[in-house]
Amino acid sequence: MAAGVGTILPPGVSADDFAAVLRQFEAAVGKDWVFTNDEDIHPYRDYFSILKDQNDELVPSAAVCPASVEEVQAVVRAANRFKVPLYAISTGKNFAYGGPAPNLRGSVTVDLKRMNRVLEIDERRNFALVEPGVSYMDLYRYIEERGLKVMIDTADVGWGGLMGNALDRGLGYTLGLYRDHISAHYGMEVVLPDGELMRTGMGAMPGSKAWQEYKHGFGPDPSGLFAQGNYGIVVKMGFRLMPRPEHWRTGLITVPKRADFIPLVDTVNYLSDLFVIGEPLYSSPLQSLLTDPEFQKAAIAFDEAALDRIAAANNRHSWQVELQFYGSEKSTLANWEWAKELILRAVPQANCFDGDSLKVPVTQAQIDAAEHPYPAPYTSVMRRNVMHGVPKLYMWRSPGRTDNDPNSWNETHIGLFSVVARSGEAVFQAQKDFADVVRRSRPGEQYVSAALITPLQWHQFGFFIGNSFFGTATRNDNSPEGKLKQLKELRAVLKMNAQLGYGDYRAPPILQDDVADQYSFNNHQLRRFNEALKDAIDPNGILSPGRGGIWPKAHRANRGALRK
Amino acid sequence: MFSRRQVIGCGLAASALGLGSPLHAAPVFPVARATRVTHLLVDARFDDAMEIARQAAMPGLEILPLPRDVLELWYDQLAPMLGQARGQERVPPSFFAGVTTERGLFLLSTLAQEHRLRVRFTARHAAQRGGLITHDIAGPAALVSRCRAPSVPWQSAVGTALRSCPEGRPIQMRFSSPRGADRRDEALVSWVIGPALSG
Repeated sequence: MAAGVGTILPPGVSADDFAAVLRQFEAAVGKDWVFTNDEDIHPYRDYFSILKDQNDELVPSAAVCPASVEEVQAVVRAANRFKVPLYAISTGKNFAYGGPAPNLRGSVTVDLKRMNRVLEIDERRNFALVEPGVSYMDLYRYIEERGLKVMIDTADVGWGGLMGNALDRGLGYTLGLYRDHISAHYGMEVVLPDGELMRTGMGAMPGSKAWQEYKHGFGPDPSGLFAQGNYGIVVKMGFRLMPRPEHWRTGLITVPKRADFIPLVDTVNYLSDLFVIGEPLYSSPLQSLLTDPEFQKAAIAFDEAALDRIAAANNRHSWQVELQFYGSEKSTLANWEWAKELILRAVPQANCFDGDSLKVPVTQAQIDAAEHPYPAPYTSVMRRNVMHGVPKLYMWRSPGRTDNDPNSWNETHIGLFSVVARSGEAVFQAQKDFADVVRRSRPGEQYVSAALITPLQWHQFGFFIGNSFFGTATRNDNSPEGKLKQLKELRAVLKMNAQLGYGDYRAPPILQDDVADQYSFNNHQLRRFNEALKDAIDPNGILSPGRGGIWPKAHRANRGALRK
Repeated sequence: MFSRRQVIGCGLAASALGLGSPLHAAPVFPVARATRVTHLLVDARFDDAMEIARQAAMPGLEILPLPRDVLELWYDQLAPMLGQARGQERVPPSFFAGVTTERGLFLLSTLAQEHRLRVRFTARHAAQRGGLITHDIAGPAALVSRCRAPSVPWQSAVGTALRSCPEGRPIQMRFSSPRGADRRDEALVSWVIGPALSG
């Protein structure tokens, strides 16, 4: 156990004041729900922290579990009286991005898991209103048990909370609006830093029955402030739910040459922006050729002619995209036929393969077995459960560090996902840029597979591209020194990416200052704006200091404090 | 004897798992009600795990095969046993055990944390070169010491030890034993999860 866990104080708070605020927390939520000893604090540590057991590990000083909005308000008011920083979590399962750990060591964790009710769900108007502790599995079960004809869009790992995922701008896999989880939110209720309660959108209109149907209300819409922000504790959130379609269909399109990727993306963009398809999945069938030294040489050099020649010699196309269609049997078939027609106009040598054609609801057996596996060498990269809104845990493949094996390592927290323009040309440029970043940060090494990087279209209108080189490269050094070295390298990579115009969309607390630094237009005006708001709304700086790179006046000296 | 596929598919009770009587009986220790393990999860892909489960079998201990995805098992069987709802205190003191991979332990221990349950005991069984398995064991002294019984295969000792989780000063122990027929590469962990000491 790290030295000081269970004995650290919130920064700037005396032992007497800490004891006093804990008594007020106990009065608010009950003695059983305020945790200060090592064993009870343990679950609120970042299981995968790069700084685990070091003196600057981001651990809380205590945790408090309110069960109602009124209790949250009481906790916030008490924290304000003593200027104690809080850090709110819903289920705290965002392990890829820091889990339950706060941005500021010594913060008191406000664990909202006891607030876990589905408050309302409407299968005719297709929305749900939930509390912070509702997980994807909770809502899925609620829907299934009642036979409601709506489906959720779930994150990869089903134990996460809808609200926590959305507020960190997490994403999913079905249709565009629904898989952008924060955009799918409609209406919030928020406890503000002074303990007051605010509703956004039509929720601010007493008596409105349209809270989950028009989220803007009137005037400026502050709901965006609460995503990756620290302006309030969200205690209720509405979500649009996808109505359950009658049919689900998939298809695979392959294109032969490297340059064909450009018209392929254009065609998919067209279909996507007409909301005809769910998340498209791009990949390259040439991945297995990376063991061939001649192919490696061509890939490192981005030699298009050589890459095309080797692909043809191996009788495979260069790129593929899987499309999914939700609707009726007829409409999904018509849309798939249309998609094929469009791509064949743009790339006459493209191949199109039928995938699944399943009546909804599908069974688990149908999810587990592809109805029409694609012919070799083409395989599906679809995550079939989440495409049907079925939350699971088996995506969680690697436990990383355990108490038995404290130095075990995996690439958690090293996933760099940069936002890239949504075109084939931009993807090709990003491939070269990321390969160059690797060469600059590790002279003598090559990012051999860079030429085959494909984008993720988790977001309706944007591409994310992961530079997976650094994650893979860390596996060989499990030592604490190795991890710190890796962290330093990641920081340098984030800077290089920013110079090339690639910003990350999400980060664990330990890297949030670095990612916020990337968004530096006009001398970091965005951050200056955010912090001016923060100081006005939260003058004591008690809510999640540092989250999103936003530091209140009281704790601003902590910006970048973890850089080693 | 049931095949692994049948075990995984059907969620059978211990008697139907064909676990039968152990060939090598490890010493049996009195099991106080307050520390009794009520459920044992077993990753039926591994021979060693099945043997440990066979040795642990006794009336009142429900043995469950670990499904591919534990989330439904948790919601349907384990969480209701532990308490009314997530975030609520468990009603009776509850211990459950398992013989799984590290991943399985991580997933279940994370879910259990929401019921203020913690990992109380672990025994990691890792295959080494030279035909040996090393056992790294940590937990209450009384439980750790039961895991090494002379003249008894390690699976027997660990299996009977998993039936309960007495309180006591935590210690660690390591020993090696010959590797049996199980050709797995992945380490297995025998574990017990129970109430937080502070709770």
